[in-house]
Amino acid sequence: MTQRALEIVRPGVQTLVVDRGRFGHRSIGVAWCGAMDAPALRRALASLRESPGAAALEIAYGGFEVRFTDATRVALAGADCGAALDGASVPADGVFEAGAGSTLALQSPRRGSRTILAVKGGFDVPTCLGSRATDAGAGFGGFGGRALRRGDRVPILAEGPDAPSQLVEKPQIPGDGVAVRVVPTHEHDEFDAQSRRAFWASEWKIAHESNRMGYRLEGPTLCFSATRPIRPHAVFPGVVQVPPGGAPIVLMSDAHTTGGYPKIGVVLAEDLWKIAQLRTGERVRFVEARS
Amino acid sequence: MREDGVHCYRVGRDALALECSAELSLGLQRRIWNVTREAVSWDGVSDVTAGLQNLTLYLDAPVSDVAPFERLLLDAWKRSEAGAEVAPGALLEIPVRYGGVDGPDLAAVAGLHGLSEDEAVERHCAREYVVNFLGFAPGFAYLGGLDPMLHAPRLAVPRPRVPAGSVAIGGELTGVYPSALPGGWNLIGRTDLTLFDAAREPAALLGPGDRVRFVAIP
Repeated sequence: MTQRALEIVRPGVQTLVVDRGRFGHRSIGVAWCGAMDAPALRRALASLRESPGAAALEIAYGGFEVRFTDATRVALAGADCGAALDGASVPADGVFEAGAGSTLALQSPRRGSRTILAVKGGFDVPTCLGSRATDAGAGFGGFGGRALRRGDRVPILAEGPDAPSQLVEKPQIPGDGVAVRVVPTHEHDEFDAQSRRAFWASEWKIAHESNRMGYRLEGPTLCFSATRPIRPHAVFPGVVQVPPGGAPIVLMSDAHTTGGYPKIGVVLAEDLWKIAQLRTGERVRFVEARS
Repeated sequence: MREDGVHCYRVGRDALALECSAELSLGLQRRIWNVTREAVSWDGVSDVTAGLQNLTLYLDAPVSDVAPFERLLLDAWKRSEAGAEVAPGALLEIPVRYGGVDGPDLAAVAGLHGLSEDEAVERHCAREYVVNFLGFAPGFAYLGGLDPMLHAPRLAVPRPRVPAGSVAIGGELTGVYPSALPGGWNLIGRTDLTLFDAAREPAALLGPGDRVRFVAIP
């Protein structure tokens, strides 16, 4: 008997095998590469009573279609793409049964940018350094270290016992102008006064050159006034770094492990998914939080 | 709290850094490696990154009181002094094809200091380098100990794709790109060694403290 699988009919802009992340290897330069909307991944797996460490698909900007080779229990979470199974609408944030040979189609999202598709059993890709997540930059993990393409068959593991049931919250997917909490770093006060005011007061637009490594922000130019050299140090998802050009970058799931730019703040881990769900051209505001 | 310019500070809510602001020295960097190795197995720590005379712990859950982790870090730092004089790390020879298509920036780097390409290669092979820390990409080792006559500023416009195995110079450091990556360093040669393979144990060919010698091959 061949293994159950999901066949990619239309891969969309970028669809990746993700999980909660690859931890414990940052000292050799290995990024975490966890799901961009971590709560959506947790929600989808919990609603299937699947293990929180299982792998799922992360679909950017919808436009995606798959066929299930066999009967499969499926959960969606995150951006609502008006999903339809063989033409009939299914819950955007919930569980449904897909029959053998059925096709699931996602349109462009009405709100948000990233959708999680999880299946009971989880996806069967090799574990690399303790995780099934794709590290697309370094080309390993996930499905052959790359985004999914038309015709790929992603195998599904046999269903295991149910994980303990959990209460699942379904937050509203944020839209344009969302506020996220940021803890200032010790370098914050070394930005000039005008830059500090501008950082907290502005609405920052997500620039086109944004991806899973970082979201580039358009807005006022920030000026780091200290002249002391900054030694290479750790950076990680949530860090807001400011390269010499003065345009900040919020580091996201695939963020490098080290960097040398000054950092103005760190987005709280529990708020980072809100930025992840913003689309190019949408805006974010920063609200000061205490560490 | 302070001992030879060492202090701890939070970075956001879930990360805690230890930094030694004293002048750079191999002995101090060695202590950073020792603490990094120890900290990765601490309860409540999900990951650790070493930088240049600093390191950062990632705490499992938002922690309101980081004081216990600060104490752990500073105690480990004190203990690490004993390990700072230990024997040097493993020595790895990296065979390199210098110049030509493999090292398109070799002539420019040599030219900066009035050297011929052969002289630049000779100098690059003459020294033993030490892995200061890994970062930027899986298995990318920042190698210290570069001859000042080979220092070269990073490119104004990074290349969108540098071939895997490229041997490069960025400022006062040298290194090898483990996979095809965007990069702003000057490419002087290329090796066929695989610096990173997630399926291998250990995945990264070079670890902190290891020593490297480059060997020119035709």
